[in-house]
Amino acid sequence: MFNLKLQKIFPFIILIGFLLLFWYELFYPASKQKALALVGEKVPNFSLATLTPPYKNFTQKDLQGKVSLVNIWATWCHACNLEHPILLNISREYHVPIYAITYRDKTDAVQRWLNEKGNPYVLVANDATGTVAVDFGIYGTPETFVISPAGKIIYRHIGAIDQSTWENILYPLIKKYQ
Amino acid sequence: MKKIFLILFCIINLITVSFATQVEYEQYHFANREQANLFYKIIRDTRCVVCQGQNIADSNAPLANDLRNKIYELINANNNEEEINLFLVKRYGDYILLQPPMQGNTLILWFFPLLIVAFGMWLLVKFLISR
Repeated sequence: MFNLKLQKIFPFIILIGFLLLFWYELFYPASKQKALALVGEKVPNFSLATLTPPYKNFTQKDLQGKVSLVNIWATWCHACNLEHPILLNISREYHVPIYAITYRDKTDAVQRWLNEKGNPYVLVANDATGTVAVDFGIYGTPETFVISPAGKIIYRHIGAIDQSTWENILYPLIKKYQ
Repeated sequence: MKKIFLILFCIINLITVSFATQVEYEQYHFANREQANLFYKIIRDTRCVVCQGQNIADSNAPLANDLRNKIYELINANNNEEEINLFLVKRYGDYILLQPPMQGNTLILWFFPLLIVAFGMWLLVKFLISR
């Protein structure tokens, strides 16, 4: 009697096991890998002309000597618009230097955006061809990298930063290096 | 007659779709045929990370275009397939390779289908014996 019941239930147990495994393989490892890629590595070498004063070439060397954020964003990105007030707050209240790389954007659109919404960035440079963005391994905009004083990527956040991400993940990490 | 129209309609639609999804590669010029072949092989084997189950050869997504340009640049700088794959994996993880390498964390991907077949065979044999 017990064996018969077990025989009936067994295929369903196997099926549920398969479904759980598929769910895990589909969602969990990919997202974990995404956030881990490049963490612990040096910031890739790059050189981009800035769009706002001081006019110069923004390179990986500008990121050395203090903990900073590199924010990759675009004016055509809706999530970047939602993230912008948080970045302004980080810059004004927490005094963490934020560097911007705009992805495939137009110079005048970036300048207009910053004039209208405020500029939380130390330097803003445009990656018009997407080359630097690929060197950073971005999936889309916005993405934010936490850079150590030694110029290493210590964390990457895919998507918009919200208050909770800032307070619970990014700021505690930054404090360790300040 | 209706059938002929229906077949023609389907063919025209297929042609339109295939033209619409065709990605142009005329901007890429290679020093030799080996480099060109390597470029096409790598872009066929590289996943478009912002698409659903598509490689970067068939994708019109801006990021796929940027990745194609980067691979072109790396080939022109005389990097081989292994070096280019290493560059991509370092930035996007094994996920970017449509054929993941056989290693600890991908063993399940390679052997899981075999396990399913073995399990199916076992069930089939059990069923046949019971009859």
